[in-house]
Parts: sequence; structure tokens; C-alpha cells
Amino acid sequence: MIPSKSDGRWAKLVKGEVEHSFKSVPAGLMMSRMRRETQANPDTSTLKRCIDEAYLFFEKYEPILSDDITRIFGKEA
Amino acid sequence: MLVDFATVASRIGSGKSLFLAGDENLLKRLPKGNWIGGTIPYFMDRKGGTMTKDSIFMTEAPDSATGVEISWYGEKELPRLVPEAPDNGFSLIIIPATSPAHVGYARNAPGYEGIFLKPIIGWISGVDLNDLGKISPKVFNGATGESSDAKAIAMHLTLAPGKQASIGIVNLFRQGRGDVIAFDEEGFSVSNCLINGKKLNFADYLVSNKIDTRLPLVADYSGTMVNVSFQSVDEGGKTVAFYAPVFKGVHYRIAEPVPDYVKSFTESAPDGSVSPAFSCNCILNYLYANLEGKQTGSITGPITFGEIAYQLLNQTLTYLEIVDTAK
Repeated sequence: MIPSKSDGRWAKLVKGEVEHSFKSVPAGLMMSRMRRETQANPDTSTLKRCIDEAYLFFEKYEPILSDDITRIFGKEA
Repeated sequence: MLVDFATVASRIGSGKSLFLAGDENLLKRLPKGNWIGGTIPYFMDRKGGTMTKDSIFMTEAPDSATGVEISWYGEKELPRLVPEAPDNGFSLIIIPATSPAHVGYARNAPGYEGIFLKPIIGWISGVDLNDLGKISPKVFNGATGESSDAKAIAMHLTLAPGKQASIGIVNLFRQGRGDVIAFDEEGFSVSNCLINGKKLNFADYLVSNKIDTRLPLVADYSGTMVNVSFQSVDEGGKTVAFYAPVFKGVHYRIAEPVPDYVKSFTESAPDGSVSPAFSCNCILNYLYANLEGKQTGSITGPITFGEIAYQLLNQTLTYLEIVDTAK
């Protein structure tokens, strides 16, 4: 299980404040794009849109993202 | 695998959904059916790198595909690709090199809403390098028999419950330890760049530093190394052209040299437990590493003018596998 969208780690993740090299290709591409987006537009609507999309991605592909999820959110995730 | 015309025609006749790559003169004579194809005469087959206009590289859609749709996308229609892709499945797209769709996809795909939620793999079709500028690369819609040198063709495949598509890459290049290179302009060609934050003409920088432009620019996308390959350096015109666009806000470095491509590739390729449903590799790897006649592990497929793993890549092997997610 991934943490809820209100968990502060999602915001840190999409803003590029979590040092993590993704094993998953789409995760790396997406997070890199989100970091650039949130840096260029540091408003709450951009942040919310990025968190929504990142949450959807991790929820949908949780079975094949288990290594990345464990390393980002810990084993309790 | 590389097969003869009759074998492909027979598989089409049996109703299989196919991804095809081959010479235009073969593809245009195939019967109608559930297939899409692109032109290219270069392949990585089981016996090694091969150039042929007499065979077709045939990849059968995975058995777990339960639904197939084929659609054309002109440059302006490409943003429809993601909404039209299945919720659980993948899309394989082929785009003719240098076409408006190629340029449009390369520039804009990373920004398509929700693109990373739906696996999109594919390649850029090409031609015999001796025919560059004489014959245009093409793509084919097997369902109708139509071809195009301007539009992209995509096959959307829905997967059975309990299966997911997963896209991986093998990129032998890593960022070197040299200067950080960034750009204020985006696109397939630039004049200026920022070298460690200082504005310089990029052509001048490459020439004065004797940069080996067979090595691509490499950006670290949160662990995924993304290459942008050099097409040409125009010293007089003071411009540099690439095979994929550079983007603002991305920090690039010139790649570290790869001393033994075949050895590195064999070591980096997915192990035998990975059985790709589709894969392709780059014509620049084929050329710069002299891959004709050489084997690079067990992964086979067309050798292409660009690879697509969600967005356009260069000098990168790209593959898709079907993963069993049933608990």
C-alpha cells in the first residue's frame, strides 16, 4: 500500500526533494518532468496536479514498482 | 525474428496481430490484416546485426492481448494518443523519420497529460543510409493497406486482467565528469548553450574542446539516463543539430566513452528471465559500434532511427515485457 495523497512525502517527491534513482523508466521520466514543472510553477495547483498524477501512477503500477516504493516510503508502505 | 515474405503473409492470414519492420517494397505487398509496420533494412537478429531488404522482422503481439485498435495520428492529432490508449495495455507507435509527426512527438510527448500512466513504446522508421534524401521513411496500416511518410501509426493493445506492460531500456551511456551543459532554447538544433552557467556558442564549445560527437549528451532523469545524439556541428553557421530535441531546465553532460560496446551491452542487457514482447535498438549504436554480424545478447528487433519509451530516445535499446501481476 502506498501512503495517502495527504502524506507530505508526495510533495517532496514531485518537487525533487527526495534523492532517489528510480529503477522504473516511466517513474524516472515522470518525476524529472514534475520536478521541472514544480520549480517553474511553484503554485499549489501545479503541486496538486503533480501529486494527483504521481499517486495515480504509483497506485496503478504498484505491483511492478515495489522496489522503488519500498525505498521511497519504507517497508510500511 | 527475421522471416520471409510468405511466412509473414501466412501469419497475417491466420489473424495474428503483428508489428513489422522491413523494406517498403515488401511491406506494401503484404495482405491486409491486424498489423502495423515501418520501413527499415537494419535489424538485430539472433545471428547478429544484419542489413537486408529481402526479409521482414516480425514480432507477434503477446497472447495476453485481448483487444487491438489501429489508428493514424498526424502531428496535430498526436495528443489524442494517450486518451485513446487502453487503460490496461500498451500502445506501439511507429513514426516516419523527419516527418512532422516525428518532430511534433519528440518536442511535445513528454508533456502529454497522463503519458506516463499508459505504456507507449515504439520507433522511428528509416531507410537504407545510402537512400537518405532519395526515399522517404514510411509507416503502414495493415488493416487498410495505407502508408504514410507524414503520419504516425499506432496499435493499441488491451491486456487481460492480471497482466501489465512494463517498458525498460538499456543505455550504455552514463554522464561523464565534464561540464554541465544546459540550453535556453529547445529543439532539434541550437546555437547557444550554458556551460556551467556561462553562455557560449555550442558549436564553438564542441570544436574547441575536441568533443567526440559520437558520444551523446546524457541527462539523468531521476535515474533514467536519456541521450540526445549529435547529428551535425556547423562551425560556419554556429549551430548544432541533434537527433532528438534538447529541453530547457535539463542538465546534460557529454557521455563517458564506452570502450567495448558489445561486451558492455551483453553485460547490461536484461538476463534470460526477461522475454521482451517487443524491442528495438538505435542505428547509431549499430554504426558506431560496428554491430553488423555481431551478437549483442538475446534481444532482437529492428535497428531504428529513434526509439520511443514514452518519449523519443536516442542510442538506446528499448524493450517491453508483459508482467504477471495476478496475486
